[in-house]
Amino acid sequence: MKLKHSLSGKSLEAVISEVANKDYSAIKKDSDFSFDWETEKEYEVYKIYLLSEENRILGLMSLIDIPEEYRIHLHLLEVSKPHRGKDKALDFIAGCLIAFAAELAIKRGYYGFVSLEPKTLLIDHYQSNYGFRQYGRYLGIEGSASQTLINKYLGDE
Amino acid sequence: MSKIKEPTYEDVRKELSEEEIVESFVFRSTMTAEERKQADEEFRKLRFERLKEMSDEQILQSELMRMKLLMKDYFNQSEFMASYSFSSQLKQYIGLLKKSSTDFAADLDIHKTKLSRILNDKESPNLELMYRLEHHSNNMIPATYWYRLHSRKLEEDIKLDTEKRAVEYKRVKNKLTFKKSA
Repeated sequence: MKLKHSLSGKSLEAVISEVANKDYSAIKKDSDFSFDWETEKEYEVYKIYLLSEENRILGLMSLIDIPEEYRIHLHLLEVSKPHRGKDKALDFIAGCLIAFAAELAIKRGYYGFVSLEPKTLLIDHYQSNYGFRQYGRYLGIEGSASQTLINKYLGDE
Repeated sequence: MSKIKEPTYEDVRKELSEEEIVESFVFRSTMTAEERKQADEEFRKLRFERLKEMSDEQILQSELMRMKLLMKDYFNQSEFMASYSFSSQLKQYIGLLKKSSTDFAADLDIHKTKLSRILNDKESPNLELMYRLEHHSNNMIPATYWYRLHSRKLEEDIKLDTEKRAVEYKRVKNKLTFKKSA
């Protein structure tokens, strides 16, 4: 998967892997993350980093596997401070993480279904940015929309 | 329960636009237990309705994508797995199509006996078959994937083939020898 350097437009190879126990203390000390990721330990937590910079975490995501409903629920996602807003250094971090969740949801036989609980004011943006649709109070993405997301952010080959 | 003062949506909204927030965050749930119970019930109803509505074509497309992604994971690890041999994956592919071997052989324009031999590891697949499989799946599973399944099995066979190796060794003359360095 590739992240985009905002200024140069250059693509940079990135990796997503599961957060190891030893990572939590580093995340806690990292002032670029504002949430308490220790509380997510009971779920599946993933980190994204550049292939060339394994020790610098750029984003985190925690997922809850709900097999009886054929879905993965995206519980919490946070991109590190230098990569947020107008002056972000790297782009596509959240997109890659959400696409990775969709890929997991295909591999687990959930037809690519990923859900999240949105803030009301953000619903339209999650829909237009990533292709989510409304399921009551939740949003969900699946099937061809998930495949589109995977192709866009993770590449197909 | 967190001991850290975490940012709320309102805090983040002071610095970022809504567009920028969805590119940086998905917030934890703020629903009460009662609200969540209701939301979950409503969601489950909609989710299972949606599952029932899925067409055979949508299910097949998703299953093929799953097959491809699992193959990709297999290529990224070094160990050979029998369940990922060419023949095993081809059996799985035919199973997803819910077709008989005879009909599937006709789809690919190969004799059903040849297909049976390939499925039972009595005959190796050739590149022509891999191209046909790629086209049959509407490019969902590329020929290169089928080739890699086959080549990994070949590699495993080479590693384990002590019998043939011994026979072939005997036919070699003037084998190179090197002095052991001190």
